[in-house]
Amino acid sequence: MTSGDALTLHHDDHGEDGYKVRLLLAFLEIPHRRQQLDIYPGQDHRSDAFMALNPLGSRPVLVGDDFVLRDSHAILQYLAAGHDSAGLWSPRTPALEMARIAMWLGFARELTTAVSAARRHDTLLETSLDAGAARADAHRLLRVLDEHLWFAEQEDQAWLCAQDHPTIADIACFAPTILCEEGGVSRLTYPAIRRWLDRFKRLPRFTAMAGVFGA
Amino acid sequence: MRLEELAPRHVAQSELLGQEIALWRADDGGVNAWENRCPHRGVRLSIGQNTGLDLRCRYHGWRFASGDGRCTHIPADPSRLPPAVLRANTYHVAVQEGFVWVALNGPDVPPTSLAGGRPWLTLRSMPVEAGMEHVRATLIEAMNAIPQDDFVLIAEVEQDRTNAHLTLMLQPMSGARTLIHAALAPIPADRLSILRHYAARLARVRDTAEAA
Repeated sequence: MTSGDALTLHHDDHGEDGYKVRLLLAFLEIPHRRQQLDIYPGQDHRSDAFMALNPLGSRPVLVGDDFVLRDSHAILQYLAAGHDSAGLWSPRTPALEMARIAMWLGFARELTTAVSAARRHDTLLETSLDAGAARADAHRLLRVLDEHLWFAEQEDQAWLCAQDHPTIADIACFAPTILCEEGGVSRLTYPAIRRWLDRFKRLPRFTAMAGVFGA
Repeated sequence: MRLEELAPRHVAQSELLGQEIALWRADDGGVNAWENRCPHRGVRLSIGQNTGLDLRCRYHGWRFASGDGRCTHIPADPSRLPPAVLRANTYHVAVQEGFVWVALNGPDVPPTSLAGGRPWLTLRSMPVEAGMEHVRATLIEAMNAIPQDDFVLIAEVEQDRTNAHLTLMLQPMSGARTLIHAALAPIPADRLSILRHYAARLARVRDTAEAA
């Protein structure tokens, strides 16, 4: 266990990736500090202090006593491995399930990239982004997600991977999916996704963020 | 929409002829299809809360009763029963053979039994970003489907070495979006692989219709 670590999360309150980590920190009730970055107009992520932590400038970053970790999915894996004694959020066996979680984390990365571009275009007015291409890409991915979740329901599975508990893959897909309509990506044609979002929001210790409502 | 997709305490969202609809099932089983718009400030009711008895709007917490859609509670004025004219715009709704039928204007009844009384397996509905006429033409071409009327087609398919009927029902969501509902009779032995087979087949129909 790494529970003796003093953890600090450097994040902004707008991005999908920071939300993923805040969700897991809450689900697992992990004590931590938060350092909020002012991205707009502050540009804190371009400051010398933050670039020293993460030369990529991306958020969030998790800082422990003797480590610095960037990439929300890496942080999810670290927290699930060290702070989840029941091993439910990122089970390592069976091997195929572990691989499927990795597969959906990869999917979530693509979805987050697309949704993030569409949202930043629409809400932060980053007009140089190609919002049309980003929305088309998001829909291409959401179609796959809806079909997967529809068939999961047919086999009485509530979550992305064949577990009776959600995993970090659900968290990683939830954040961009619940925020996609802010980028003009409608969930109208994804009924199985809408039901899965409701199930996720009803988990104990679920936390909302700006633009996200409870179930 | 398929009835079983109206999960408990969930508010589903659909569209018919360009009109967005909020669909939800009360705990007593009553099915509601309402204009997806709160009469107070126009917020989508589909982001509201299904309490099991009523639908609570996300914006100001107004509550609308299952059935007649009458507003039963306004948090800003909790001591008074809201006037009877305050209500969600409800549509006529009927449940038949596992599907929820909605009529925007007047109490149109659903067609008499499409399955001819036989049990059928409802398949995964397939949204297509194309108008209904175009989707209909694509189904005729790609699946040898025979139109029964403007909205319903039937295709003969081979199933377990016998003939089976695939009933295809078109929901015009808008002028540019169509939902294909499908049901198969008789019910096949290997349910899951048949569901996957037709999901893939209808996805090909979708891709063809969207490419043209």
